[in-house]
Amino acid sequence: MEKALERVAAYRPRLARALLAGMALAFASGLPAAAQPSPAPTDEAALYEAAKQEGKLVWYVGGPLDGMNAIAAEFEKDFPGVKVETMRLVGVQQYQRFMDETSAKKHLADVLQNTDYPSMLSLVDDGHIAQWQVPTSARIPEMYRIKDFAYAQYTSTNAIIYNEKKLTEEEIKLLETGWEAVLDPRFKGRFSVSPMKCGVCYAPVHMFLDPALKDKYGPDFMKKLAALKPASYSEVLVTIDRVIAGEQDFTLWGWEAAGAVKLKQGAPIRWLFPKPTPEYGNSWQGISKYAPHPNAARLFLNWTNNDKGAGAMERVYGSKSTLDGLTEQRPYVKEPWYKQPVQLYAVDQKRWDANYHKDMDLWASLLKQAQ
Amino acid sequence: MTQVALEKLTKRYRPAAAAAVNGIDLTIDDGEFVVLLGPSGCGKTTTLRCIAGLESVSGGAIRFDGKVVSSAQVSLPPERRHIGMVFQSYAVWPHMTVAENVAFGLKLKRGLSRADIDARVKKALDMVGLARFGGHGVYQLSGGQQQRVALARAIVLEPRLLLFDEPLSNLDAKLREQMRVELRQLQQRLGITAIYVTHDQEEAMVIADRIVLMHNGGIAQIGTPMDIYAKPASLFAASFIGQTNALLGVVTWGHGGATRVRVGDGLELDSADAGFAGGNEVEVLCRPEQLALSAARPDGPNVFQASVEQIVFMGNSADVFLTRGGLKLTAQISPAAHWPPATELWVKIPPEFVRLLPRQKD
Amino acid sequence: MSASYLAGSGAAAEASSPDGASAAAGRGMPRLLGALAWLALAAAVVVIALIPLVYAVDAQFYRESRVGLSAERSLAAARDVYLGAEYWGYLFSAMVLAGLVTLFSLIVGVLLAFLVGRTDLRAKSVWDMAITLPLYLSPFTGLMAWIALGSEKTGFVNGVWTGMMRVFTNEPRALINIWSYGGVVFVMFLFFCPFVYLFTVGSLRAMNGSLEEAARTSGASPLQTIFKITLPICSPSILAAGILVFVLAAETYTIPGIIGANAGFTVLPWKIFEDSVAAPVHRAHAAAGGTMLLFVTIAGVWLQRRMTRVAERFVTVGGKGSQTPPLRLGRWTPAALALILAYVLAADVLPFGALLISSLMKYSSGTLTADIITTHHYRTFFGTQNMLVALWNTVFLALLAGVACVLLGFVISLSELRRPNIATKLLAFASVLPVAVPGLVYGIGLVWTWLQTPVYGTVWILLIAYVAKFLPYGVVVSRTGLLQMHPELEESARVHGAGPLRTITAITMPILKPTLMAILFFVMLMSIKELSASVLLYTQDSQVLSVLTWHYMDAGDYQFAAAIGIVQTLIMIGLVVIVRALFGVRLESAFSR
Repeated sequence: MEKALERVAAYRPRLARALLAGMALAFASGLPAAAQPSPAPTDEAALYEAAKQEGKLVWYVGGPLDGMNAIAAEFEKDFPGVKVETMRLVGVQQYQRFMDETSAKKHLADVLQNTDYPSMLSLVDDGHIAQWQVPTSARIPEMYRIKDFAYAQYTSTNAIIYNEKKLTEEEIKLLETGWEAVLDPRFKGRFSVSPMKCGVCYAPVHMFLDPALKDKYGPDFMKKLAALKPASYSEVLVTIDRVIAGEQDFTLWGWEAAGAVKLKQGAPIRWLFPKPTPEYGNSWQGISKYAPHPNAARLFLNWTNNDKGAGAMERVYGSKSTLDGLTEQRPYVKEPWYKQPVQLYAVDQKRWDANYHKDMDLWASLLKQAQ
Repeated sequence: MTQVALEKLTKRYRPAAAAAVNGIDLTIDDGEFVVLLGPSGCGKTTTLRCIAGLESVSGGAIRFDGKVVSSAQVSLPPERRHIGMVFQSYAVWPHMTVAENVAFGLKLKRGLSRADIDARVKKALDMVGLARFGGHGVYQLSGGQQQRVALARAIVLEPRLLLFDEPLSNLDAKLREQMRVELRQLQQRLGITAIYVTHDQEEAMVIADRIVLMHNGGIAQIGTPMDIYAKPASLFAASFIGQTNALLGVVTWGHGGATRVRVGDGLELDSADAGFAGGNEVEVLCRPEQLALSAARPDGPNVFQASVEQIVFMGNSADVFLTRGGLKLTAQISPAAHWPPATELWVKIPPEFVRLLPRQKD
Repeated sequence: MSASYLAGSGAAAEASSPDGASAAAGRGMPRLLGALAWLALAAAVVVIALIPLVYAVDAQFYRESRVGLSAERSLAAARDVYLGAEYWGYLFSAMVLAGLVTLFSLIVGVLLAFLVGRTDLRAKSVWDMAITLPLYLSPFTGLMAWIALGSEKTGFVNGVWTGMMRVFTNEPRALINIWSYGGVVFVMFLFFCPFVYLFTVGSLRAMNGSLEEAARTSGASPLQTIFKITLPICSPSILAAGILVFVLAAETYTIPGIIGANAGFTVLPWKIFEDSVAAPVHRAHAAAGGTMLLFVTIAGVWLQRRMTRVAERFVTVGGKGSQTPPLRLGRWTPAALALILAYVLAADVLPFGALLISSLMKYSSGTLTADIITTHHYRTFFGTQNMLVALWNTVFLALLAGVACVLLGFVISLSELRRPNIATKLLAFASVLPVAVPGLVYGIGLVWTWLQTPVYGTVWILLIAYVAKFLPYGVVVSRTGLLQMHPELEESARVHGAGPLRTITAITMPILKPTLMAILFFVMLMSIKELSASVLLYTQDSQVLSVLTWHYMDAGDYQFAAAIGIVQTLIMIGLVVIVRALFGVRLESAFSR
């Protein structure tokens, strides 16, 4: 290599120097900018300065691009000079991509947002997430944190999303009493479900198959549900879209955030919470240990977990933040038809991990058998 | 302008296969118009393409003015040989105008100004009679005109050698006759050495200074058209060039400047060819036009009767198919005349036109 | 190959340049450079096309972890896939589906090609353009349009239909239900039919008319001539197109996947997709399934090559196209027009219309009311920085991939035809192989190949993927074009002073311009629509429109996705129009060689 450079240098000194300079520059820019000691989490001003030097951060998101972009825009408004680049990778795919890149020493991601809790847990346990205690960590319940590494940005609550023109007052009240109300013959052929495997898809199934609730629900309930031959779509979001279009009257497989997004777009939908309502922490975020823009990432994580960021998230995206004591900023809460969930059901993380695939496979096979 | 020499030229397409050109020797003089003539597969086109540099050479050598251009070890690429070539398919480029086609080679040369190129193109087009066609697209031209474009393109570069690969075979008969004369005149005027490949013996005879008759990868005979026509060295040569009556015969006696030979059912003919002894088996050849036909018995040697089988009228001449015993003969008379079939006619063949060749056992 | 043109002249089939002779003093340098250049090209093709394939196939021999592949080897996945019944079942589904789609595409495509190429139908150029218009829509986007049109209760078509039917009955049934097996076949057929049409119409136009005239003078009626002469002679092209469609249909996962669950069937490509992406991830299974598909498609490619070899013998000398007068349709004209209009309606008007309308709607709805219309999606699109970056990337990649495939494909075919030896033939075959690999499988292989290099994470890896995937078209189409070109055109250039390189640039390429343009158009369109590999390889810096569409679809934002789809189509049309204007060639006429 040197010999080649020598020969080049002999004939074209300027070219050789430019080559060497270019190589040096390329080499330097590839180094992680972890040289200086980081400012304390509470020292926002210093963090901001350092972030401005870095100029941007790369955010791997699992949520819908539209919503996440809106949140990013709010951040950029609060902190001009720091750009947020979003890159959508969902669930296990994000984990795979991140691991591939990490093992190849290609460090592109700064903040990871994953809706798949086990993935994030894996990453923390294997040491790929940087420790960072956000200033508001005391206000985030323990079940919505993975120690000081990852934080759930919002909670997901399952809801029946319905077309506002298609359910009567009476029917709404009936459904609010509980999930078993859907077995009523008047609802036959009017709703949709999905065998798709995803967090919000699993949560109600997880609840139905809770051994403690086996008298109320259990596999029998699921069988009866499948026997109603509801419309089944491979993608859970399609179920919601079909409700918007009016093809079905409501979907059993909805969740509040999805409804909020569509409502914002003006869709004629509403939602109700049958009791008990599964609720769990979603959208786990942490800073990559190899983040190329660590200070910008820290600034961002602080922001999403404080009143400003969490509030912005509630406003532009519409999910319920995990931050205790945050003033309610979700726009639809004020609507006359909106009723808060009456009884919440907390998921059991251990049972979730253990039975996720088994339970969803059962549901899928029940649906198939019934067809 | 260039002397071309082929020395034991050999070309094999596949190492184990029979040679397409099998060790031929040939010298073509500066300014000469030589025609490679022969049936399909005789190797004439292959030879031409070797001279052009479009084929590699398996053995022997090709020299231009003494310098080797092709051999088994060395091969000068075609674009460095300074030759012009006219192809059977014309190969005029459809995406260029006539003038652009002709100018192509000139534009590749250095040191020629735009004006120079234009002038030379114009001159070349004038020479082939396409003066007004410079701006035309080639697809608008007839076959003959396209061929002239190809010709202009070949000569505009003032090559030292002109090669023709059956250039006229796609044209109609009248045009062919006209163009071959023009080609000959053009070559004479420019004085460029020319090598021309064709399977049409009539064409060869019109244009060649010398004909190289080829057969099965080798040279059967070289000579001027008159020589080959009058003195074919083989049955192949005799039958390929012009028409021939070929009869098997046995020499009765031969001495000095004459030979008597018996053919068929006992007909005896005198020939002016010498060098044969009694008992030799020979091919007896005579050209149809040398048979004189008459109703009344003529004087002289080689006079006999035969009956008319059929007459084919050809305009200015007629082919008369005659039989005598088991012999079949063709006579050609000009101007044409007509006799009904089965007419008995007297045939006379002058001895100097009765050619004898040793019988070839193949 | 040239023997068919120079029958009886004993001319060589190979116009081998004397440069092939052993190196002499002073002659070695250019020849060495030439050999090095060829070696570099071969290396590039191997790296781009073959190594990712090797990685992708190799992936099945690892043990799976919860989130991917572990480092240890295992045959468990391979055993599962090849020895179990499940995946064979999915493969069978995929082949049945592909078979049905191919069958309908062949029947309608050939019929349309015949109507446009051989009859006295009016306004041919209009129909030509209309029938090939679906090429400007990615099948995936078209599916969204057809969901909006054909959903049982809320589809536009059904809405109009039931509205009309209400006159007759109280409970009118919907006309179509897109969420069914038939729906899948229908949508796929609409998008693959133009392939058959394109390849067939060219072959029909170039056919020697005297072949049909001979049949007519022997007493055959027009219909008999079509079935006994015209179609059989064109059958190699038709079958080759059919095989291509089959291969492409067998590896499609978007349409059968999205509708499949609702309609109760699963095809192998969708299973591969799920195994790759949806939890729990089964990457080794995905690789094994992909290899299964690979074998099927290799068989298809091999068959296609044999068909085109047969087709070469049927090529007419001169290739100037038939001079016979076209077939008179007479009283069949209304029926013919009805067929064409039906296709145009189903494949062009309805989907593009639905897509356009969807893109202007706030949310999905079966009824169009004034308050639902908005230009919000377009305004957002053109107002967002990274969307415009994606737009630029898409155009940039399409142009580069197109040019690369043209040049590389041309060089590979040229060297195979002009210097036929084992090396050039192998290279030609190897460069065609990627067409057989499903994009998903290939994408994974590409990630692994380039992960450690600076190319990863940039636009350039997408370019590599597109070139690898679409080079086969460049090679095959330029090969056909070169075969139809008389070698004497090049020989006369050589003789008159042009070196080999000059001959290629001044003679061969300009004469082949229509063919090369066809490749350019085709590759540009395919690159813009490419999804399966892009979705695995892109990063935030290198987004493209197809991936964006996918993300919005995935997030349930169908209207926004429709807007991006419209922009995508406009770009395709725009690029084609610009290139057409620059070079003066048409996509349709380019295939009639």
